[in-house]
Amino acid sequence: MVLNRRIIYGSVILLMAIPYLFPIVLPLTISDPTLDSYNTMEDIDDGAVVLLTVETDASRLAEMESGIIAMARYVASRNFKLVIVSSVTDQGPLVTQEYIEPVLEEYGLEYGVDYVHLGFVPGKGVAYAAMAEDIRSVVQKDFRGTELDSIPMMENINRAEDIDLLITIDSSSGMMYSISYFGTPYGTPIVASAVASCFILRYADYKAGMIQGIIGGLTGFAEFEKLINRPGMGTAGLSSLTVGHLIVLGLIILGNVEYLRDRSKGDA
Amino acid sequence: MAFEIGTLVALAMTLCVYSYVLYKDTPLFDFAVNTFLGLSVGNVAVIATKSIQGNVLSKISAGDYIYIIPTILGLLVFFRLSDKYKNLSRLSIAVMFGTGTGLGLARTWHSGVSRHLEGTIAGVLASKDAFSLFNNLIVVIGIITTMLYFTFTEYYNKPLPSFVKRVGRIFIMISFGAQFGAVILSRMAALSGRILFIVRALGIG
Repeated sequence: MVLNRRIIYGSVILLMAIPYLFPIVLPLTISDPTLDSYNTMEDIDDGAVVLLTVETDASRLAEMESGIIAMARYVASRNFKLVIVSSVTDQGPLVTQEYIEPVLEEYGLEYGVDYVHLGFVPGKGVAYAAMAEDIRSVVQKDFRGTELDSIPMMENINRAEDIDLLITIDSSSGMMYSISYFGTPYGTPIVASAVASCFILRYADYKAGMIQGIIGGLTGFAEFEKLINRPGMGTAGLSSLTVGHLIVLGLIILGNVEYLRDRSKGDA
Repeated sequence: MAFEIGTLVALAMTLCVYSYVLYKDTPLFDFAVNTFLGLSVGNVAVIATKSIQGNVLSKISAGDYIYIIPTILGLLVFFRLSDKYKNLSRLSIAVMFGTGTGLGLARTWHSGVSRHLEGTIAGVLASKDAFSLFNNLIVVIGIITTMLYFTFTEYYNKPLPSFVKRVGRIFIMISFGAQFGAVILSRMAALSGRILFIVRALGIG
């Protein structure tokens, strides 16, 4: 039996849309990586300096959007002094402008006093290494063109030792550079919010204690929304994701049954 | 129904992309892909220009002439396009590779190898109960057999060592399966996100 791929894809899309039209609330338990992320951030004092690295691009926003907004809401509610920067992906500043800054402004945070956006710093690992030693060696002006020395918030922030927490919103290799150039040499606590595929790759780093917590995939974002008491797109997407996975599971089983049946016919 | 032009354009582009899987390779799909590529390249061009202007040109014009050296190195990369002078680009590439390797080497051993070894051994020694000890021992066996799998000496053709390599191969297959599963998870989550966008844009959810 050969199923036309259009039927498969079309039915997956339609069936995954149903939970959005008729919401189903599924029970959700908080996993250890997400809980450890939340606890690490809760242990940091209000008003602490947080380096927020936005290393996700537009192609990953469909998955990351809920996590980005949840994280933005949390850091805004904690009155952290936020330094926002991107180095791995040049679309980081776009994501910051479209998704993070509106949330920060909604919470009444003032640019230059509560948060600063440094924009894109080219160089990836080299940029991270340079920023850890001296931010002003690679960035002299913020994303809006203002000299860092004239921004009140940046007066005492220049190196890794001045950073109390690093939060990385990552869909590529940002976590690796955060660990190598901030976490390991300077002991900066790191919390990551990442796509599911990065979560699997970096889980070993979490278990080894190199990052203090990792919020992975839509499920992780839904767990984080539950912890901060702000259900959003992550929570809404869980039931849709569950339906999608059940369909894929069913198709895998169907495919294997057909394979075994064809093989037995071939043997006969 | 959403009437904002941005939302309508995004909805149209999403449907153009999905026309590939729901119908066939259509000019609409090509249009959407090429638009995305063009916008990405345009964004890179703006960021790169801003970066050069801010990090290089403004410093040179302020009298910091040391930045002329990396500027020349950056321009030498363009000689890659010339058949006659492309060897000049090797100098810039060598500097880039050397810097990256030097920085990476210093940190990679510690963050990529030794900290993981510490965590693995500490995990075994700090096991609180029999179940966690069993789990941690499986991790240790997996690490050792996986590393031995990539040993290709004659010794490993003997029965016992080749059994060890087979165990390593099983761990590698399990690891690849887990990574593939995580990629599927990511892709399904992305699809779920786009479906939510479509439902909201159409005003039916």
